[in-house]
Amino acid sequence: MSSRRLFPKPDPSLLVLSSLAGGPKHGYALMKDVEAFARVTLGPGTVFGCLARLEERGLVEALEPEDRRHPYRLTAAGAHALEEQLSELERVTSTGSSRLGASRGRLTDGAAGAPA
Amino acid sequence: MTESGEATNVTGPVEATNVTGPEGSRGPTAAVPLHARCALAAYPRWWRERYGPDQERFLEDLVKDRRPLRRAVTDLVVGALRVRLRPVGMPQTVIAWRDRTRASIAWGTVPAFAGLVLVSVISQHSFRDSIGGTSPRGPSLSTGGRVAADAMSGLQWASLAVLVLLLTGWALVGGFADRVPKGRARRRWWRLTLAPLAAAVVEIGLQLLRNVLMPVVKGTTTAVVHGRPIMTLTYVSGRHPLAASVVSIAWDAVAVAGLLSVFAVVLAARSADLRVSDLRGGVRLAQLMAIVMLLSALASIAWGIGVTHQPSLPPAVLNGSAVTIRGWTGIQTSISASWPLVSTGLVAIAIVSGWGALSARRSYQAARALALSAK
Repeated sequence: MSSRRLFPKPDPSLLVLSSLAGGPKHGYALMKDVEAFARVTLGPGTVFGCLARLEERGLVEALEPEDRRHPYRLTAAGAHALEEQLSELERVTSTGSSRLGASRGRLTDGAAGAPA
Repeated sequence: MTESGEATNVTGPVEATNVTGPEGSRGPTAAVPLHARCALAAYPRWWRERYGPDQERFLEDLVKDRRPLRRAVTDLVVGALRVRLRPVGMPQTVIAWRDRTRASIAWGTVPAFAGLVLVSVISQHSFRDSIGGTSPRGPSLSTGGRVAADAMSGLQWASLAVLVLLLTGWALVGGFADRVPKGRARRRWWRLTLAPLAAAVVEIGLQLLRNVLMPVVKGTTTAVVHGRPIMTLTYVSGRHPLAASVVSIAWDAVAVAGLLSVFAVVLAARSADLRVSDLRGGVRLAQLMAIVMLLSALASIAWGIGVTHQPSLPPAVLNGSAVTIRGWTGIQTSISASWPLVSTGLVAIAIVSGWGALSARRSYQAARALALSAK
């Protein structure tokens, strides 16, 4: 089983906030950006569902529309929420990485350890 | 947003390259296929007004980049369902909540029509006769059979209640004529509202025509089970059997159109400029309908469990006629096999109807509170 199937996809809200941290974007540009850095393709229903949720909580805001679409940008509250979320994730990843590095020598492969 | 509620730009000035994406997506717009437009139309009106152009532009960019639309359309349909279930970002306006109340009333009542069709399909199989019914002339039933027969009676009463509620709803919508502007819009509104009546008149006309085309009674025959006569069948034949068959097909087609005309009434209700207080009756109707559908679902489960516990009955014998019918056991078996499907359908309808009623009540309360605070 691939690790992608074992672990669920990252939360779309986190991906959207991370993308907007790089600068304001409209929906399609946001989708392409997320696809590039997270290898996750978000559909239009998910992207705008997330944006509506985040906008309601004041984490992102819509700018003046251009060419029939609104660019969105991160607000200060959004930046703060993203920072908190990322630091939590970082704690998990750094702990996991350091423990994995320390125990690499002691690990056996699955087949060798399996009962006969 | 800051604590004071003021939005702050932390990303610096907007740059055109950033906004349009890495490759830029400006230029002539691409045509969005019909099925994708239908998916967009599945969103509520307030959403379409706010995010509709953005989503449409998103789809145009997908088409322009020659990316497959199938996943995007599925995602839109799921997204629309989510927004309808939980209206995140809905503006706190009377109109938005009034529209949501109206849509919820439709979700609470219209699915009952499908329930009506399901129950009528079962009834057409003559379930009561297929297991002998509770008639003293029929063969004796087990406890399961009696439960099934009683549950079927309950289902038929529930169908009657659904019909009465739907007619009440129709009458309610009919009372909103003065909420539609005079002229073309009013005429369209009347056409939509009277569509079920037109279908009913055509149905009666076709029925009369069929009776005229096949007027001659040829004879009667009696179905006998275990030596007891349980059912008398009357056969009619006439001078124009082919024409009568054509009329029968037309009758079925108009019956389907009549069922679909409920959507015309929903459209009529949507086009009226209703006040919040106008929706009170509809909310109560949706609540009653949800209760009836819940009882129907429970009755259908009882019926299904009961009928599977009724031992098979012997095949019927027809006296005095060459006409044959299927064995009672065959009919019973086919109904027994299909009960989980029918019950699942009724349970699903009860869930949708219940959700619609709950949502209608909450939305109505929100709309009323907003209307009061606006005064």
